[in-house]
Amino acid sequence: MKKYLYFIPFVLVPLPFAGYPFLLSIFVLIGIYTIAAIGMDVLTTWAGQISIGNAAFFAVGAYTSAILVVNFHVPFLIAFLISGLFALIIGIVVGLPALRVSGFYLAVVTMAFGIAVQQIIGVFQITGGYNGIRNIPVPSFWIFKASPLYQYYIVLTIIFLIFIVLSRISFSKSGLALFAMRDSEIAARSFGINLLKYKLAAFGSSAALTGLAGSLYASAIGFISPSQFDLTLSLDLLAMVIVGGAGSVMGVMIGAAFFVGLPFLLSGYNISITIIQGAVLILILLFLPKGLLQIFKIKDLFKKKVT
Amino acid sequence: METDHILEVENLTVKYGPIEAVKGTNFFVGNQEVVSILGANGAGKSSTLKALAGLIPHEGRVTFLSKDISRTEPYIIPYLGLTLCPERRGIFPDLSVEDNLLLGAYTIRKNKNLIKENIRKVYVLFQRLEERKRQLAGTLSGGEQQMLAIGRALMNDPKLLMLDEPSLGLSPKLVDFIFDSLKTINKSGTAILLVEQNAMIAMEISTRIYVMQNGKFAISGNTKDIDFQNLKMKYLGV
Amino acid sequence: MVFQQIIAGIITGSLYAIVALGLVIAYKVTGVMNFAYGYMGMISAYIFFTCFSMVGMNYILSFFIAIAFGSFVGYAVERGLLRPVRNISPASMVIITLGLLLVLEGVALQIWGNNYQQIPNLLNGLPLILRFNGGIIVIPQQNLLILGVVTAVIIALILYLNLTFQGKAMRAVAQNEEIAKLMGINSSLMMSISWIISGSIGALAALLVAPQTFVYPDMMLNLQIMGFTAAVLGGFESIPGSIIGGISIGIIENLVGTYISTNLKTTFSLAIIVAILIVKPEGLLGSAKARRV
Repeated sequence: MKKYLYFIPFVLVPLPFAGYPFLLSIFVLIGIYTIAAIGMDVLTTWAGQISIGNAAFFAVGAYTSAILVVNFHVPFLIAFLISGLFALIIGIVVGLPALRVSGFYLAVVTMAFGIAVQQIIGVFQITGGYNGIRNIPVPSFWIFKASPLYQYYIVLTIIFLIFIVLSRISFSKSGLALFAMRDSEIAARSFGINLLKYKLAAFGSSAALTGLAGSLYASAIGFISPSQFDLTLSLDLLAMVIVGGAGSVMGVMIGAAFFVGLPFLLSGYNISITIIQGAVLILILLFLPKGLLQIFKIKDLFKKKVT
Repeated sequence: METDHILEVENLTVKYGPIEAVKGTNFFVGNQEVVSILGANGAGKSSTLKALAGLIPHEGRVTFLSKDISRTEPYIIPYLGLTLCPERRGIFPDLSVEDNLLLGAYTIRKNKNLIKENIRKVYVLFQRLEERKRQLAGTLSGGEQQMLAIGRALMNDPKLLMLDEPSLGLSPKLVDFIFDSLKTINKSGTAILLVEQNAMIAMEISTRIYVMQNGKFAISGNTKDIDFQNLKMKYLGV
Repeated sequence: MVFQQIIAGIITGSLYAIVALGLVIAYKVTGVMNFAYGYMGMISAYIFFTCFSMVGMNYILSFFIAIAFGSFVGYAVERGLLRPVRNISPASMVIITLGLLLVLEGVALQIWGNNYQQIPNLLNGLPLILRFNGGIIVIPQQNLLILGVVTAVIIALILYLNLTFQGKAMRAVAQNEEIAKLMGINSSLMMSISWIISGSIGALAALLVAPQTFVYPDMMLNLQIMGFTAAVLGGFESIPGSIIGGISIGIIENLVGTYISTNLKTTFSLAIIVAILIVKPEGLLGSAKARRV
């Protein structure tokens, strides 16, 4: 149960900033990208499959949710769940080629998928073509008003729920089967693990998480267009996992905070953000292969030794 | 040290992480000699050869033709006249037989006439290779691949030829043929350092042998002085 | 006009083919799939733009400066970024190239801004017009130039790899680095050379395509994706495979664009390619055993 206590600081963090909606909305974005990056983490770190097309799932979630809310006046909660479900289905379909191709080939297939989805949403009327969809309402329920603080707690709750589910899975038989598949597909098969089931499950759940994040994103930003879901977003999601620390929700959160927060920190300076993002990614791989989380872990150990 | 030693190895140690594969061995190869290192699988024989060729990190001192080569880059070593013939899987399968031979002459690539002459010599030794010179090396039979590996190692006129298990996986008839060829090669002036599990055949052509066990030499001496019973015991590890 | 579209497809396809070749040669020798490849070429296109349009140098001189710069970038990336992590994992190397993609994109934005810069065609004369009993085919001179240069590069590369000592040595390193060292081949040098060749081919592709796409940070995105797809289709190991893969994608794309949908031509082409991969996961000319992952 101790691991759940890590969430307490996050419950308290926004309180001093309650009067700064802009800061809070950045926290909300960090949370949303954390969910999407967890989706990437499940696919890469847990199941050992690579994807450089996850931006497409993000787009699928964002567009499904926005179209339902704007065009059909569906309540947000239902739109949110449908967008996750729809992304899940698409994720399973995309997972099918992964049963046949692997490694670099899978990277190329997922890259192709990402490009294709971006192109498709740019063509159709219902998605608003290249202009996208504007004025997506911020959800408000019942007594809660649509405010960044309220959005923050919604996102935090969702991350918490995902965290609980993932920690359950990682200690279950399914989790072990996933890790076995990652380490060696041949060995996993020889233990009678159904690769088909687990690969599709990995792709499906990765897509579903990313789609849910996309749905939240659409309502938090209020405006979506195809150019927001490009190759760079796919790369950013992958980079968040690596920069923060693969295989850990906290690590992914650090990665998301870094990638989302950086543009705001640097907005006053005339410098391209991608230079710093790319350089940090490379430096992390060269010098801190376990991600920024490694630094924090080392500090923890140090404290224990002192006391 | 005596000047007639072409290769002098002192205190050679090879480590894989915490495991010592070769534990401070000392040996030498004399001019025009055939020397064999015998031993069972995993005794440290192949590691010894790889260390001499500079492919794996090692400690100790290796002197070849009075030159210290302990720290020399692996791709420099064949230029000095020390060539390792890897086991037969170490050919280039997607290159033709003739291209494999040409790459053996990489160190003398400026001297086209010498290369031509050496290819001719290899084809005299192994006629099968000439018949198959346009074929991809990967399509050769096991025996032909071994011939190719040896032929390729001869292409740069080595002064000392090191061979890693040339008998591995070959029929007895082919093994006899390969070892006859090694005798011919030695007669033409090339010293040979041989690593083998097949002790009987190796002893037939060797002037001296070292028997390796757990990274050390258990027995060494002139082939004709070796106590065969003792060798069998050490060799089989009983 | 099917023939006109097929010819146009061969020309775009030839660009995909050399991008695929550049990717494959670096991959075969060093084992790195370079996802920053197109972006490395993009920087060279900006170098050309700077020399030609801003400084006012001669077209040909600017062209060669840009190619030389491309080969230098290839060398520097392999030597400085990838060699230090060679022994870590193939996945790390892929992600390093993805990081490099981000850096190069940012560098271009920082230095040259986000505007689309124009580069003129080298050849602007009358197009070649072929008449036959079914109609006419029109080929602009710049496209003939592309076809000619690409063919020359492919022939030169094949001759180099198959007939020269150095080319054979490079293939030896690609097949087995350790054994190549035993032959006296300096494998580090061969790796550098393979990236120099790859880098200059990438720069060349960018310069050939720049008059059509204009010069901007993402100018090479499409070419890079299609080049990758061509390489994958060809099995990622084989040079003829890359060429066949590139040309066939070019033709598929042009036919889809004409007869199905212009807006969705990339999507349809990619779908066809994914379908091919599902049926034949090792690519058209690839062999399952030789895959280096």
